[in-house]
Amino acid sequence: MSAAPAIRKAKQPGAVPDAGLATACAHCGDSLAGLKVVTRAIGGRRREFCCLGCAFIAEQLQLARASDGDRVALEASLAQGPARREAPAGARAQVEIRGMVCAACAMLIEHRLRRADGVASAHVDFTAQRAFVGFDPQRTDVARIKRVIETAGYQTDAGAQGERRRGRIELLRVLTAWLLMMQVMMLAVPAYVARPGDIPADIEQLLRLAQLVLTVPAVLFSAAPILRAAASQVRAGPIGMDLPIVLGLGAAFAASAWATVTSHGAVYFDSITMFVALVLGVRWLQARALRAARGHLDEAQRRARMTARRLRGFPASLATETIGAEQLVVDDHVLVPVGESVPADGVIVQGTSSVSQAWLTGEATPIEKHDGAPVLAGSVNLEQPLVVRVTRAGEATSLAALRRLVDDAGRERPRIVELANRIAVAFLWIVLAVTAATVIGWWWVDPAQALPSAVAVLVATCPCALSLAAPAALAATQSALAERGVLTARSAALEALARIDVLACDKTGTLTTSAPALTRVIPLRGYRSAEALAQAAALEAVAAHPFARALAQAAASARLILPTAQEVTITPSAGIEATVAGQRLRIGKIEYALALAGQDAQHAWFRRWPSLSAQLPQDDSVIALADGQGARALFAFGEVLRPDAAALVEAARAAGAEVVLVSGDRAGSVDRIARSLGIERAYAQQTPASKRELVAQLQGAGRRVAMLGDGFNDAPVLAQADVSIALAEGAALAQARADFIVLGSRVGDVAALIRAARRGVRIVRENFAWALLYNLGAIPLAAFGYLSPALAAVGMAASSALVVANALRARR
Amino acid sequence: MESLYLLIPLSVVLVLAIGGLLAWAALSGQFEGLEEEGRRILDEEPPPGRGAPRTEPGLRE
Repeated sequence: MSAAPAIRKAKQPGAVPDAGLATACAHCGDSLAGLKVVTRAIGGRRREFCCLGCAFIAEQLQLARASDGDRVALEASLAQGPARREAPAGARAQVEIRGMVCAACAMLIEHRLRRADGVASAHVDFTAQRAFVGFDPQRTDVARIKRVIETAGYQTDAGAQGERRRGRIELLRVLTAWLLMMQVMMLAVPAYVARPGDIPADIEQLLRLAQLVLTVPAVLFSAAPILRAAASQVRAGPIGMDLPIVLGLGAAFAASAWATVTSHGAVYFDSITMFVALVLGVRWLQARALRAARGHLDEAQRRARMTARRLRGFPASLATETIGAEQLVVDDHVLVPVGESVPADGVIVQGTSSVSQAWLTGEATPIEKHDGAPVLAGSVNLEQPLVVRVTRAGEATSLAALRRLVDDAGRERPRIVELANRIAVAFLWIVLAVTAATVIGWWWVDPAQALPSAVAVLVATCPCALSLAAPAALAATQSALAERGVLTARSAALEALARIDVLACDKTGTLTTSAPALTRVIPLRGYRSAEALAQAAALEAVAAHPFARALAQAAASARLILPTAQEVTITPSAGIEATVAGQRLRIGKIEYALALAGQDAQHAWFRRWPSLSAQLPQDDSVIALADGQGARALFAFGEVLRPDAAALVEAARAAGAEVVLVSGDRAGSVDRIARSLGIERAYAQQTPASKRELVAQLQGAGRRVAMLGDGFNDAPVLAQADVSIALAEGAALAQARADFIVLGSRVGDVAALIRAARRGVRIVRENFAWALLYNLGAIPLAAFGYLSPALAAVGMAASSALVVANALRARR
Repeated sequence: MESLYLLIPLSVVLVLAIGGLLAWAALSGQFEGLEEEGRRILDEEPPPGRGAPRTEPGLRE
């Protein structure tokens, strides 16, 4: 989807996509919602496609039909890749490709590569997002191959290198702008503080000349992006805020330069440089917000990228070879020594260790991993060497997928930012009309006043603050969120989130922990519950069952010392029997445990069961600990609320949103959770499809719905909701598709997210109100000569600074 | 006052020189990975390709 600019270019002139007609791609049938549609005339009819690739394939098919060709043969010729993957002679290269939407894009690139001069073979792997090219080094090189891919409308890592250089130039623009602003200010100060006659005319002229010399690079180099944007708006439209800004800046600069050359009139070099510095500063802040979101992912990716130790002959030999991690393919075996990171997503085939997934969760808490457990690229191995079989490598790993998601974040501009651009055209005409009226009016009254007043109008109406109002506040909000581990995948969603009135939550794994926890212990026959818990945990110590883990956790948090269990026998799906402190004990299903004491379902003990079970939480699973005489204790396991679930419900209410529980679970446990959180509407036994319908119904009733889920099982409903928030963990991350991704599944961060979105949007509104008030108020004053150009320039700079300072409040 | 005729142009030249220095620093990547150098001292292992070859405990060939 990052191929969007290229797709726009490829559109035929006049071929305006009509989103109202087609909703699915004419070739692959994917939904067109949210995509830049590519339109092509196929067979005399206008068809819409999801990407360049699909359009290309459809065109080729059409040509084949027209020339009586065989459709199957064509598709085969397009698809032949793997067979020619090995170059017979010459060099081979791998190129990373960004911007492919579907497999058709991969075909398009393959086709272009094969036609290129000197290319012997080409295969594009869509899932790995890379091209494998065999070529003749005498006739072509990697740079040319990359250019072929780029001209097809996609990006390569050559583009990434260019991006780095562009990033450095952007930084340089900011640095120079601020340096020059400080120096120009210094040279401007004497004129502000001196009384008339204090400064000799020649010195004043010298000061102005120095300011002029320093302002030229600020305008021509630092502000070049603004000038370029304005120029392209004049050429190709649509008119944005850049044009009136350049008008104001240009008028101020031209008037100042003229005044300097003629030694007559006022100069505003300080305001010009200050504005340029502020605008670039805000853009820098925006870029930093994105980088903060990417920062820890970058670090993890860099570590995972470096090297991998491939085990060539595993399991026969343990000889390793060190290769670049990007050369790994699925089913390779790699050795991960202690302290190194896992180079690709995979499954442990040998070894037990604990790993840190800090890049994902932000917490360095080690997670224990056994044979067969999945590990994610970028995790750091902490205890024992591991042998991992690769399941996803390179660009297909969860880490890379998340990175791409964050990279694409800026692709949609928030409506509130668009608002500034929509009013820009009207604004431009007002500015031009008022300026013209001012010049004409003063021409009749006092021609000497005409030029200064016109300049004052242009400077006063410069919508600098207006153009900074929204981006500054949204960037500050996003960077504050990123620091908490909340990634914004679609910045436009911040505005929508501030306006929601329903928050629909999934239950399991969202409001409650996904693993069961020990909810109740009922000691029997005078045993103490701590003692029973310690014995139960000791018996279950060997088991990997979720209940066993819950018992171990409960025992550990109560700081119990576990006795040793000996002669352990495990009966699958029944329980465990072992000797503890010289006594034979059983833990497991009630019938199994009591069988040790010879008590079966007819025994007197079961008559007490109704009164006992009344003490247990409904819907919980119960196991028993028993000895030769009968049951010692009962343990109940159930879902427990995440610690900050209540805080989330409260935050949503405070934001004016009703909380609705939507779950696939049984009615009993859903109701219990809903009641304990004070949620009035709860829907149980929902399928993914019915959840989606429910959200659609709410939307039909005019409600704006935010959906909170795990981002994986809830994908359809997340797509339906106005705003989607995913609590992402582990492997689900690669598939997570949501507007916001809360790393580490901390529900409390969702509450913070809702609050931050509301505060951010409120600050944007304040900024807009102030900027408009200032601009509209200053126009009449400037037109009638009450506002000198110098004062207008000070006002312009001050209101821009105020807007930026207000935006920075969103970081708190 | 006459000294200003020298000092003001001199300050402008100085600013432009500093600007040139910034340009070199930014374009050669001096502002990238600012925290990495500070953290590197805490790394237990030398960067790959330098120092003694590592042994991998726990796995025998």
